[in-house]
Amino acid sequence: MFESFRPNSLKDLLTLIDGRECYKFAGGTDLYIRKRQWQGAERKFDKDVAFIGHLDELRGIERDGYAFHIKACTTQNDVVNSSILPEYIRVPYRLMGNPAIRNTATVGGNIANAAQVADSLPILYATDALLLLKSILGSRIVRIQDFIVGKYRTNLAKNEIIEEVIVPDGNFNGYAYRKIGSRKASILSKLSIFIVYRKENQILEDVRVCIGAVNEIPIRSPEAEKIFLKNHDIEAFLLHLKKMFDAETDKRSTKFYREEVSIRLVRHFLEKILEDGE
Amino acid sequence: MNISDRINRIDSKEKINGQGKYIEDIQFENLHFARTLRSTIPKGKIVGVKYPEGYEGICIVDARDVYRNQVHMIDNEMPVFADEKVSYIGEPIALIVGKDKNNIIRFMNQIEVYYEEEHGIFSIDECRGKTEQIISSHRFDKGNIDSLDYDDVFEREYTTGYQEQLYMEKQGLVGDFCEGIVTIYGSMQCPYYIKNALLHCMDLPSDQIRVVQALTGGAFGGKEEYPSLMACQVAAAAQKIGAPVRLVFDRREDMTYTTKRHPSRSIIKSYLKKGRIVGMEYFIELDGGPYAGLTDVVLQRALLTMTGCYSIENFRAEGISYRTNNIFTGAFRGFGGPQSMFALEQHINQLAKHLKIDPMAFRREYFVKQGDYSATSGQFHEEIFLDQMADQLQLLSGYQDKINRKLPNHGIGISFIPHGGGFTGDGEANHIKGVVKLVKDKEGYVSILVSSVEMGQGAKTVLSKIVASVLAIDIHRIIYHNPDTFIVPDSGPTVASRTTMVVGNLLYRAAQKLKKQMDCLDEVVVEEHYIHPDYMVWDQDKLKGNAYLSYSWSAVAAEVIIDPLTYEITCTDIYGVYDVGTPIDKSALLGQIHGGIAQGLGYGMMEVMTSNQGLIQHNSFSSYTVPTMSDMPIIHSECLMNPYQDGPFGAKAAGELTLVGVAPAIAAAVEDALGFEMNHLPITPELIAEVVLK
Repeated sequence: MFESFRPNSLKDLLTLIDGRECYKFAGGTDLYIRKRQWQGAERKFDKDVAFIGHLDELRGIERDGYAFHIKACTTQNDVVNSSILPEYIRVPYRLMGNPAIRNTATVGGNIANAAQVADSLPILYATDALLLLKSILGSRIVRIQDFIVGKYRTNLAKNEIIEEVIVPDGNFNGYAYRKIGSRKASILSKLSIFIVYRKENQILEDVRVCIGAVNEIPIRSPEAEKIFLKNHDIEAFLLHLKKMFDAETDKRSTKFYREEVSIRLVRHFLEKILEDGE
Repeated sequence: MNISDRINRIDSKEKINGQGKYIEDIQFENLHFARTLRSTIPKGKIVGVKYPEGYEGICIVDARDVYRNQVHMIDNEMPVFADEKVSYIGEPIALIVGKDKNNIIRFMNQIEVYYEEEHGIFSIDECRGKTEQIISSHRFDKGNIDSLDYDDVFEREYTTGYQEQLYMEKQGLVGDFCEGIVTIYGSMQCPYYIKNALLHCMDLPSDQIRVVQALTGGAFGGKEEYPSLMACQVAAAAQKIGAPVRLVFDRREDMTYTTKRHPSRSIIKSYLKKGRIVGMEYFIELDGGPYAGLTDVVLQRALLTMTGCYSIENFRAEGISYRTNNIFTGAFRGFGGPQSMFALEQHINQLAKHLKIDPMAFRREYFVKQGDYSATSGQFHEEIFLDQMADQLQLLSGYQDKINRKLPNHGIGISFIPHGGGFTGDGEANHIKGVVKLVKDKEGYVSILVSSVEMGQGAKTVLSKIVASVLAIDIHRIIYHNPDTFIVPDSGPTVASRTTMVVGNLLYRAAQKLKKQMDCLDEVVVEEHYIHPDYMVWDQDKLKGNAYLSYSWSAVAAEVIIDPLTYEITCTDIYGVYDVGTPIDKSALLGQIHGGIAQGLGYGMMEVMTSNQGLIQHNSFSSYTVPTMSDMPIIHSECLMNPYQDGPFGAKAAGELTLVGVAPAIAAAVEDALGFEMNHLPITPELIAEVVLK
């Protein structure tokens, strides 16, 4: 048997989880489904449950001079409809799940869940996002790359929650996004490509390329991006990415398709980015 | 009013406003819940089952509680509960029954079943050449295939995968036992199939077995034979505990363990002389799973119309259905047609390309006409307008321009499909023997008494409209309750596109008789029995003669655009010309057309369902991807009016036909766009990448 709790404040929540290991239940759109046994019967939670989705302290989007701050329990639709966030952040969220899911599922939930198909991760990897983690003992900031350890595995401590996602403002002025699923709506990704860049006076000053859902965790190589900015050698860049591929054939797609199409799309987008304005 | 004019559906209001009660909504006093204990291995002996102790309020119902442990379908080989051995993953071993779902689930989490696992068989390939794996086989010839004069042979192999019916309402029944009478309520297509199954497995006389259909939220064949298995189980449970027992599957349970469309492999070999087909050999194999069920009937339907819309002088058809340890496969809209017609239509396209002839022009040379002989050497007694349908389709779709202009990554493909209405051969006369009743009460209201069910397809609207139109009374004076076998005669199962054409015609004739007595002040009962038309000649042993009462026809064109980077397919437009005789209601027919296209599109390019060592991998809405509205093409449809003499107001079959031609047309369009042969369904971007890049 398990117990469930609905703390009234962030402080109460942190006190609760300090002494007791809990599932942190935000939107629950994945967690609640995964724990079902039989319609109408209890869920199979092997730990206690702390509901956090109702805490106003964990909702909201702000911007300061350096970054966008998205609180963890902000819903995906809050992101989609935000007047603060740039389009390149909003668009991938718009293609996640379906309207009902997006109104319930949260930004922090998609990260903490750390699914291979989590569509928000490529954006966060590409933008070098940071996570503000909080426990009763204090706060710490970690890079998203250091937080995600593997499929469904993160570095979140038992007594911690994700309080905020910090997306540094990279002054990007262009992006490309493509999500490939087996239908046109309401679908999980076979693979996704997310690219943001800054191009000024026809000079590519920054470019970030991230591939989601192919490996267990998103694929990105800042070193290869740096080299590419200098030499504009797309094939050399792709070769670097190819070495990072570790896709598997599963029920959504095949290893061959995922890797091949990822390469084709990245090549296509990079060619367009280089051509634009030349 | 013309019979085809649109009216509102009779059943839509209660479904939209939520008043309608599905089996999960209906309240029963002292209701017990049942959950199925299932085999976790595909093949083996059950050595023992260890149930946990210390639980109260739990009742175990298994093979020992069934009077005769056999589910009567066509044969009786499937057990109600697995006893000693299991033959597929998910095979029911017992029902765990109680009033508290949490108690049941905790109990079930502690059950241990001990098996002695055996080597299972999971593919058609493994079955080949093993006679012990054969469920059924057929072979028949037309003309003389053995002494052909030919100068070229064209041979290809085609495969198709599983398809899931994915009715919105999951499988669900309630069994009750009260005052010596067992009653089954629930979601079903065939109340009398269930009744006959209960008659076989229970030690009860016919008048103590009652089956009542509840509002049914979709079926597509999935609720044809499968509910018989569940009914035998809940009946045994209800009898054992003397209270109502509800068995409703969860979605994943339903998708993993209930019947699907048969995976198939076909080989077609055409013999050519100076560019003309002089003979054709067709060989199809189906994966039937562990029990025969309806597999042999599906195989027959796949074979009997194997020459499709074409007149092939010399022909040999051969088919085998195999026994495997995969999930057992069964009825699904199209019933063998989607597999064989995909193979044939792709073959015809590829043959046309091989001969460098336009696929439309090539087909026209072989279109069957009235008086021609079918694959089973039966004479087509009706007028057939395939040439006119081809003209109409060309006009509707702009086919000629599109096939000629060759835009990169754009493709157009066509298919021509026959679908026989009603049961195969003499099935309606010898097996079904349908009976309908009309009862006019003293107030002038007329009740339709049939066992045909409304499952979302529009049966209530269409059959009521037929009776009201003959009687020239307002349709609101027609009463058509969900069938209850204590009240309605056996008009046959709600399958095989037979409801409008066959049952509708019985009602049409009954209404004509009743019309003469409508002025009578008393209650009037009219009963009508099926009469086999004398133009139907059939030899079931040799599979020779008129395989179907009448044929409906479709001519479909599909347009696709293929993303050159990702090979994603977008089907932009589907054009369809249909000959279903006289449509009883244009809206109802449009519903069948749109629904058939959605389901056919899924079968053709989206709905991947695979099995790994007997376990279905795609068992949820997120992994088994049916089309959404965003995936739907623009649909352009027209009808060709060709009334059938023995259909009500001239109506023929419409339910299944609309699905069958979609996947072949899409496959042809993909081939047109890419220039590569597509010999497997569904055609996914992954498949295209394999074909094009490897």
